[in-house]
Amino acid sequence: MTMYPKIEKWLYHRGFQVPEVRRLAANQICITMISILTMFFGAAGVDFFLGVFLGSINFLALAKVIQELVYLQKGAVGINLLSFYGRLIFTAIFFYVLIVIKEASVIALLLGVSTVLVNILLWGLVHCLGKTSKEA
Amino acid sequence: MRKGFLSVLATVALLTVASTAFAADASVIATISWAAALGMAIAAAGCGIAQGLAVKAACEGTARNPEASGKITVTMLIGLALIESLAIYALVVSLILLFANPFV
Repeated sequence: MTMYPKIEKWLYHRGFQVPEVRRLAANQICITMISILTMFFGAAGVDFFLGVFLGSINFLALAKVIQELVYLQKGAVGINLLSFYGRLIFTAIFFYVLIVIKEASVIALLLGVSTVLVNILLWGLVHCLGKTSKEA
Repeated sequence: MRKGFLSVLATVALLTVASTAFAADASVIATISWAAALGMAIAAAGCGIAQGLAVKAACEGTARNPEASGKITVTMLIGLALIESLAIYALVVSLILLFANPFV
């Protein structure tokens, strides 16, 4: 059993019940795991990994909250809202500590956060290409 | 009522900015603070409006066609992630302007 199905299974048990969302989340987790390797390339690599980590946490939390709010329609609204705003506060504090106190490389951080966008764009591209080939 | 509100707002804004004209170093810091605050405020407002519209449309779509909720959720997630990343970028730029400005 490879790593990817294990991640998908774990996500399913964590509440990611929509298959496409689960796939996106699994891709993002894979990107995070791969980006651990960049930590061996010095301080900028560590900053890049931290950016990826922060972006991934944000994306996974957003995906979970949206599913619970719109699709699954279960759970207390208050808890969902708390987790939503808690995530935003956590992100702001994390960025503040990294940029101001630790003086991390901002470019590396932003590149790390942008992996979420790359993941989404790649997914969209694959999705569009898949649709086109089916229609043809 | 609206004119009065605008007048008060303009007066407060002028009084706040006026202090910067009397100090050279302080004016730079004040301008940077204004830029960071305005940038974050505009980004937050734009992202808030956009996310609200996205969630509204998704809720309407799900209510009209519950069977399509899976696809709607995926599309909305992607949209919200893209929108929210803009707010995060604005936050980073504001933090850079305030605390790690390379030009000051």
